Amino acid sequence: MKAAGEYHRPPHRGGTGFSKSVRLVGIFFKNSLLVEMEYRANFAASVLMSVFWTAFALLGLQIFFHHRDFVGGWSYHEALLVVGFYTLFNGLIEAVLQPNLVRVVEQVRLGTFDFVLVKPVNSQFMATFRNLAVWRLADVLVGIAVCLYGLVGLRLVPRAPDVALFALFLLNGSVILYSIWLAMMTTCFWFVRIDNITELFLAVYETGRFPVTVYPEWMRGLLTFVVPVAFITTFPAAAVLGRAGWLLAFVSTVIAAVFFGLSAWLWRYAVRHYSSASS
Amino acid sequence: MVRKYLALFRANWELILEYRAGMVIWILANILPLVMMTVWLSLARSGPVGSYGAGDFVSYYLAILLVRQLTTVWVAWDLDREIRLGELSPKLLRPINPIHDHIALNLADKVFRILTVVPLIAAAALLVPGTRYATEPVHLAGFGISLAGAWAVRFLSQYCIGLLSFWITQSLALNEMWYAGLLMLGGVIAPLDLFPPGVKEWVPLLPFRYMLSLPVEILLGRLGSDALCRSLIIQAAWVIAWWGLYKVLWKKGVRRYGAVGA
Repeated sequence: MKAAGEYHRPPHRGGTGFSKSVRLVGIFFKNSLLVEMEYRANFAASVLMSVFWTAFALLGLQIFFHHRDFVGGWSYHEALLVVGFYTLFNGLIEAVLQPNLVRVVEQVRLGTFDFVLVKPVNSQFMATFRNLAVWRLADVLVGIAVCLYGLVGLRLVPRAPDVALFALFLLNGSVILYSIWLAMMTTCFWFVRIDNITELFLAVYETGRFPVTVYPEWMRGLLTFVVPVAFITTFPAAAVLGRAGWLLAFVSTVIAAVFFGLSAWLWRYAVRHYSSASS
Repeated sequence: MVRKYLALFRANWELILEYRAGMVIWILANILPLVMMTVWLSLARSGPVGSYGAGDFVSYYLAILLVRQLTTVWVAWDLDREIRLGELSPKLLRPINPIHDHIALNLADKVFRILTVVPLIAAAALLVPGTRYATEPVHLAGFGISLAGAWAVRFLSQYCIGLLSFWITQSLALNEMWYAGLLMLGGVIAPLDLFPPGVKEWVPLLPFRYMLSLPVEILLGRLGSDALCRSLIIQAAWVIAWWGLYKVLWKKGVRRYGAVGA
C-alpha cells in the first residue's frame, strides 16, 4: 500500500467543513449511544464510580479545611470549583479521549487503520471523535454539580465579563487536554504499547484535583508551562471567581494554540509516514 | 508444599523479569502519595497540622511509599481475565489450587521490588533530613507483622472481588471502588489522625487502615503497646474474615463455572 498521505488530503478549511464536522459528531454520538444502550448496567456503575471518586476529592478537601481556613489562598467553596473542573475534564478524558486512543492503537497494530484513512474526512478528526464512552459523561454532570454547589456555597453569581473569560479558559483547557492526548496517541505509530505513557500523564493530571497554588514553586512552574494542568482545572475556576486577568487568558490561548499546532503537525507527520501493517 | 512453591516462584520470577520495563513506569506513576505530601507540607509551613510537623509528613509519606511497594496487588485483573476468557479451566486440572500460583507471582514481584526500588525509598527515608522512625524492637517486630498482615488483607480482599467475576461482569469497577476506598480511608490522602471528628472514630473499624496505614503508624512510633496489640488483633480478624469469604466464594464459584461448561 502507498503512503496514505498521497491520495488522502484531509479537508482542513472550507465553509462546509465545520458544519459537516458537527453533523458527524452528532452521528458518532448517536451511534455510540445505541451501542452502549445494550450495556445499561454500565451506566449505574459509571455513575456510582463518579460519585465515589468525587467523594474522594471532597473528603480530601474536608480534611485540609478542617485544619486550615485557606489552602493555597483558596477557601473551601472556591476549591470546590477546582474539584468540579477536575471531575468534568476527567469525564471528557474517559468518555472521548481514552476510548478513541485505545481504538486507534489497536487499529494501527492490526493494520485496520487504513479504513480510517480512506474515509473522506480529516483523519485526525475521525481518529479522535469516532468513539464515545457515553456513560462516562456521568463525570461531566457530577463535575458541573460540584461547581454549582461551590458557587451556591459562595453565594456568588459570576459577572458577565468573568463568564466570558471563563468560557475562553474552558475552551483553551479542552484544547490543551485534547492536544496532549493526540500527541500521546500519535506515538503509537512508533511504539506498540503506549498505555504507560497515558498512565504517566494521568498521574500528573491527579495534581489537578487541588488549586495549583498549594504546590511548591518549582512544581507550579511545571504544572503551568510544561504539563499545563493548571490551565485545565485551576484557571477556569479562577476565572469564574473573577481572579484571572486577560493577560492570563492570552497566555492560555497561546499555549493552547501552540499545543494544538504541534500535536496536529505530529499527527500529520506520523500519518504521512505510516505504512500499513499488511503491506 | 515448599518445593511446589519454589517451582511456582521460579516460573513467575521469569515472568516478572520479562515485564520489568513496564513495571518501572507503573512504579513511577504511583506518585499520588508524593502529591499529597507536597500539599501537606505547604499547609505545615504555617505551623504543625495536628500532631504532624513538616518532618513528620515526610517520614509518613516515605513510609507510605515503602509499604505500598511491598503490598501492591493486582490479582483482581488476572482473575477477571482468567474467568471471562476461560483461562481458568486448564489451571483447574492442576493438582494445586490456583491461588498458590497467584501468591507466587505476587511474591516474585515483591522480591523484584526489594531488589530495585525499595532500597531507594529506604535510603531516601534515612537520608532526608528531619525524618524520624521508631527503632525499638517492639516497633520493628510490629511493623514486620503488620506489613505481612497488610499484604494478606489486600491480597485476599482483592481475590474475593476478582472471584465475583464468576457472577458479575463489573468486578473490576468494584475493585476500582475498593482501591478508591484504600486511598481515601487507608491513609494516602491524609494520616488517619488528621481526619475530622465524626469520621475519625469509625475509620479504624474498616479494613482499609489494615491494608496500608497500620504498618506506617507503627513505624512512626505513634502507637503505644496497648494500641499496637489491639490493632494487630483487628488486622488478624480481617485476614481471617477475608480468608473465610474466599473459601466460600471459591467453592461456589467453581461449581457455577463448571455448570456453564466452560
